Amino acid sequence: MSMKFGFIVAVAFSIVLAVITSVWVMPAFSGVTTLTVTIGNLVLHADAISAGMTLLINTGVILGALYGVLYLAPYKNKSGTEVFIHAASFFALHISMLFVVYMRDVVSLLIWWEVMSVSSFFLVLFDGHRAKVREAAISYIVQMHVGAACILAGGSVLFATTGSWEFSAIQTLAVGSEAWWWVFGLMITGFSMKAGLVPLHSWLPNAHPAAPSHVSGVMSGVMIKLGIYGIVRMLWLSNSPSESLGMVLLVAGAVTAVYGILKATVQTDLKRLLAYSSIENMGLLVMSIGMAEVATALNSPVVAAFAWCAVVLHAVVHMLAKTMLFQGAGNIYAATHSRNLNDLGGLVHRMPKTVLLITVSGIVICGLPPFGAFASEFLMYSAGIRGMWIENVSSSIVYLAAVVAMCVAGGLAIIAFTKAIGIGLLGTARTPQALHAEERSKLMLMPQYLALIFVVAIAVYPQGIVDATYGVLSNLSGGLDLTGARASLVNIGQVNIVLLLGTTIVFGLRRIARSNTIIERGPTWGCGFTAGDSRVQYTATTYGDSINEIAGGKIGIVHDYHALNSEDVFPRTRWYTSHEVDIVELSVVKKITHAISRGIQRIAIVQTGSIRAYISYAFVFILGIALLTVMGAL
Amino acid sequence: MITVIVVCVFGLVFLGIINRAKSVFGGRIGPRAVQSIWDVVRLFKKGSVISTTTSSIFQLAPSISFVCVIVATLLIPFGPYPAVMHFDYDVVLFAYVLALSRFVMIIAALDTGSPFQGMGANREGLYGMLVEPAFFVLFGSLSLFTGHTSFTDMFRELHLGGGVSYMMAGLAAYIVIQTAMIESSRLPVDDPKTHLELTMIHEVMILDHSGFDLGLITVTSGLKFAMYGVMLTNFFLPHNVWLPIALAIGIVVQFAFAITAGGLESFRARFKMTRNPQFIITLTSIAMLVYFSVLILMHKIGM
Repeated sequence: MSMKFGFIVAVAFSIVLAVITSVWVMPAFSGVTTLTVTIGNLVLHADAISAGMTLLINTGVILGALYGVLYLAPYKNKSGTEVFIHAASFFALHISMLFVVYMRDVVSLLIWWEVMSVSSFFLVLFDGHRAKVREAAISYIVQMHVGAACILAGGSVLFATTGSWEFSAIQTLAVGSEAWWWVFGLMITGFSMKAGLVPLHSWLPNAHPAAPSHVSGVMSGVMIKLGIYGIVRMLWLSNSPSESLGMVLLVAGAVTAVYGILKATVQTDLKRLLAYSSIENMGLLVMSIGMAEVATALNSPVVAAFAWCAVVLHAVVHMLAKTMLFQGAGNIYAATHSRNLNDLGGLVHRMPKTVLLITVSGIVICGLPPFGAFASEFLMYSAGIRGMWIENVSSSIVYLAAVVAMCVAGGLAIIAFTKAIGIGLLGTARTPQALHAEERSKLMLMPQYLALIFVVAIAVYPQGIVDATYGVLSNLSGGLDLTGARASLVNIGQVNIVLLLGTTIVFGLRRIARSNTIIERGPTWGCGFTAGDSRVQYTATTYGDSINEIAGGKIGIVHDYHALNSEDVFPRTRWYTSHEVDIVELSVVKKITHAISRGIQRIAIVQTGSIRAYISYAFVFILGIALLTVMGAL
Repeated sequence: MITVIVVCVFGLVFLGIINRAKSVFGGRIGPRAVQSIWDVVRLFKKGSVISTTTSSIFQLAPSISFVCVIVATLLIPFGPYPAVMHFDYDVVLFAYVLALSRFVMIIAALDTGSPFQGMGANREGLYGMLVEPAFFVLFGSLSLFTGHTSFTDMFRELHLGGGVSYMMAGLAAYIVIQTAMIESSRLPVDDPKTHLELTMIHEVMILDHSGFDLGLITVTSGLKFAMYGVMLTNFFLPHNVWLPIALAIGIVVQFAFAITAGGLESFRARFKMTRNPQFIITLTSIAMLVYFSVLILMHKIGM
């Protein structure tokens, strides 16, 4: 059975589902009405926030699905079962993500949450014959269950205190009370696991590269945002804002943003780099949510309005940009069978369209003008700078810290993405695979062009998002006045147009000025060194090394090198390798799992494998029962 | 509008003044200050050699970078005279258009596939990242101080008086000067007078650009200097100044800035590359001093 055909069926189902749900939620989108529909025992609720999430999920999934059809075409040797599992999981992921946002009580949310985790687990396992993929998938599913356990525990506390599994019962808890902290602490921890907040992120940089590209686009662009949705929903339901919780979120988000992008700068695997960039962006979102929460608690509606607009805009733009980037990485992988930046290079001459799409989305994801993420980051900065005016000094300093975190993250993002683009796509080819890479078909590039259209539209008309999602935004922010934020976006849109037009004009003038001059082509100036080839180029490893050096070598670059001993008289073959590990994974997650497996091994000594031992266990057991009976305990 | 005129005039001769100052300090006669204009005109007329390794990104980058600096200039007021383009929080835009300019120049450098340019690109990205927090802390503090968020309103409202505020203006001016020097890759982080290959940041990044593009890059760096010069002037302009006097102050500041830059390059050696990050991060701590002096001035924390 051809992979393509099986997947097309799933895509058709997904499109039908997307159309039905999008049409259904439309009335709720304006924020006036909430919808309820009952299918058997299943009750679906949709308010403006759910409606906004529905559109985000549907767009991301459909873009991923369309790409998947052609991406999977070369996998002809997959069995019918594998095709069925992959296609069914894709559809299950879509439907479960949608239903998560329609559920209003902890238990049914957890059921769909579980479906979401398991279906994405199967999707990650697509290349399951590779040990690395299996390892990543298992680490993913285990960590997702730890997260789900946290949500369940939080829900149990809620049930024990209020006697209800409904999320709305949160409103009856007094903000800041012990039960409130337990419920919020546990559930937000669980949701943060999905969103990939540091230190709960260690599954993410492994799972994203392991998954096929259409799946990693959906996971990064859409699925991890459901963790953000969970956090937002909790805050939305709480009956009054909590300054301390907002501070926690703000700081956690800032740390995540800087850590995520810091790790991205030292990656050599393109998809792992993108995964770390997703961690950064989730951090920025959570930081914005924190800024909004603190501002609402401290009665500063202007800051809250900026921050909420930034959250919505950033979530949309990040979904589009990450879809483009992961699909671009998929194009490169399909053409060269490599994701290692050190094996690529020179693709601009072979795959110009893919390179163009990745370059544009790279500029978007760095939050640079003239594209949409600049508008959202502009609003975040606005919230941060305006937040510094808040009367009490401690919150002023926290907002200043948020601004500093944002600009450090922005600067590092430039390093990370100039590396991905400059080393991976430009220059000269480092391997024969890169040298002979072929551009993907027009149809395969189509989903990326679709995303590009959205991106450019948001660039020139960013206020459109605020207008379109007005219902969602007023719902989120509790009916705040959004005119200030909208006015800022109008300005940004105009500046973006000025930049685009200005560049066109200057480039046109350049063309005229150069028309009478002699233009020659020649080799790159090698400063007198004439034997240069592709190997003299800067590599992804060296490009990230300066950051590693500033970080004092503490960001997880491991060198494998055996130094010369005094006894080594004669030279032997030596090698030097370096690779990158996640320090949180190494020092926290691996430690915990090692402790657990050591404990299990200790228990396992009873499993001797000899029949005599087992008979003696049975004997001891029977003896114990007999003794207890005699003593009257049973 | 005044800013644009001042920047355009001084942008063209700024590098000329620096060179003239350097030759005078070095005991040579040297070219006239206006020589930099003729250099650019010559470059604009010249043909160019373009590497076969490169793509259209390489050719597009200087134009984008130029437009970015122009847009940044449009945001800077001249004392009480407003900028061409001003709106709330435009300080963020200023930092980000310069970041875009950096981004495109870095990928253009990597487009050539040359190890030298890769090295320059890497350092440019690194130092740009390190210098940004200082800028945001400085202007965040000024926005807190003045109660405004755009350059135009901030500089209009910036009334200095009393010991702490002079200290604050002094620190702010120091940060702006150092930011300008780092962003333009001049001393003390990089030395543009050494032979091209040894100048390991900006000059090495543009090794392959020639003809019109090189002219555009030269103009861009001159404009950037003059733009920071105007920003510096703004700290010292009284708020109800008469235009000719303001212009006179502006011109004096530009000359002083250019001659200082030339003097620095004549008498100082550049830092060791490995020491540069430390030096650049100090700027952020100085900006934090500005922030705390603002808190003191606004009686938010006691003194």
